[in-house]
Amino acid sequence: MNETGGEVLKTKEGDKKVSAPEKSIFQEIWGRFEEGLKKLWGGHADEKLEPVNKKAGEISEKTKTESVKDYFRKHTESFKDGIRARSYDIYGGLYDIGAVVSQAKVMFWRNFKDGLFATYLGENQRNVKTRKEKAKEHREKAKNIRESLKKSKVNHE
Amino acid sequence: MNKEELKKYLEGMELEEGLRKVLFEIVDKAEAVNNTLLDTIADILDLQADFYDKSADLLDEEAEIYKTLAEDLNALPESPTK
Repeated sequence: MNETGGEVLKTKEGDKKVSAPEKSIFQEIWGRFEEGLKKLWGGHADEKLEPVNKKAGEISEKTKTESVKDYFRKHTESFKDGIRARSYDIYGGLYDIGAVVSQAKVMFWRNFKDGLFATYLGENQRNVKTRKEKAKEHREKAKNIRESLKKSKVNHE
Repeated sequence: MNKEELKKYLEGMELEEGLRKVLFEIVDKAEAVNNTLLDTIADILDLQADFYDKSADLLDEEAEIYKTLAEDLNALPESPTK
């Protein structure tokens, strides 16, 4: 990071003399801005700050203080926009995650239908078939007892 | 046909264990093998057949319920509208 030292503001174009109050304001906003950026972008903070320093160095003598404030306001807005954009990204991402979850539910149920449910239906059908076959067998056995066995018993008696 | 012969006959039917025990008990308690006893056994076998038919119907009904559920789930949208 290019840093101010003493009464001099260092820029790419060279050192710029600034008054103490101006330097103080710049350092304060610079520090805050840098701190915020560091939190957000970590090691890239210096890269992001470089144009700010350059811009600050271009401030005319007359409008120096005001310009720094404007620049701070502008970048603060930009910074906020950035955060806002990131927030939208995050919320958008969360929404997408929600959509994925919803879709996953649908897919789960479809898989359930196609997989487990199909298995269940297959087993159900087999059970129905088995029970109907058993019912038929028992009716035949009952019929045999009523007809054949009774006749056989009579014959034996 | 005496009771033991009737039991052998029932044994050959390869009935479920619970049903076989019930029928054997009835045979044992009966005075003799007669038409009444044989009709009673046949009635019980028919009741068992009724049970199997009814349970098959219930399984069919259950399958229908799940089929309807699956159709409802299948009608869900692929993804929510934004």
